Amino acid sequence: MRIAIIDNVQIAVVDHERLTREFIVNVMMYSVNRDILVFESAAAMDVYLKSGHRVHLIFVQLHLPGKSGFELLRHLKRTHPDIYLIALSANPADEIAAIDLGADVFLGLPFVLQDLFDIVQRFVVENPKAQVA
Amino acid sequence: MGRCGIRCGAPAQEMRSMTDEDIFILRLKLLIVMAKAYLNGYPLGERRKAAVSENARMVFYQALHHANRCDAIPTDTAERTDDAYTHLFYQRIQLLAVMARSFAAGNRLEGYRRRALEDNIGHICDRLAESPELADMPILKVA
Repeated sequence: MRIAIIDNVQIAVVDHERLTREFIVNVMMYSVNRDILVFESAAAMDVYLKSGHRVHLIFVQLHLPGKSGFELLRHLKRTHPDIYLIALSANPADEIAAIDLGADVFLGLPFVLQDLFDIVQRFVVENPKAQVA
Repeated sequence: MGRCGIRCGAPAQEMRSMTDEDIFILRLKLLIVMAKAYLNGYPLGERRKAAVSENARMVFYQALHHANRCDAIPTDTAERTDDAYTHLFYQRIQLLAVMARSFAAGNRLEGYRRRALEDNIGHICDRLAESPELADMPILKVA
């Protein structure tokens, strides 16, 4: 039953920091056994969603060059309220703003591996919405 | 219907950008979880195999880089220094990476090979537990 849920989930990572981004992608790919979408800018994520693709969960670095992660959160909350948003930041002052803008999780850097497994468990494995293809 | 955000990751007073060292330790722990999951018979789909292989590749080269910075093992085995111990630790990590790439490629690790993998994980976990700056033991129990 769990395999069926994981088969249908689509996860994206929007982060310009290569090492962190590649690590999150690695953990997610292993956890859900699917390719993970990667975007280096908020604008690229936007374009992808506007073309009608469906995404279930997005990791968003708040401090992106160009359009910020905050702007992306605000936009996605309005246009795609069903997407789970994980906000990443190294600045504790960002937490309240991120949650106010609709982030489901504020992930403070540096995180530990268990944080990422907990996110998969909570928003993918235990979440029936993830079954929608 | 409103969603309530939750917080995870570093506590506010410890937040900072992640370093290469942070990522190396995280990748090593992920590799241990992957290897333990394999030993426990959890299924390995195609993307999972790719994730194991990629993680093992990254860990191997980072461990190689760290090992090169350590002093070589003394020829007199009775005089094992911390550096030599650390050097061996990085050799073990490289061995784990090779083993992981092997099972990700579809090679079955059975008999002595399986035991070698278990022993190697045990040694690496012991070392992580001995080093408070490296240790985050709950995660080692995930798989």
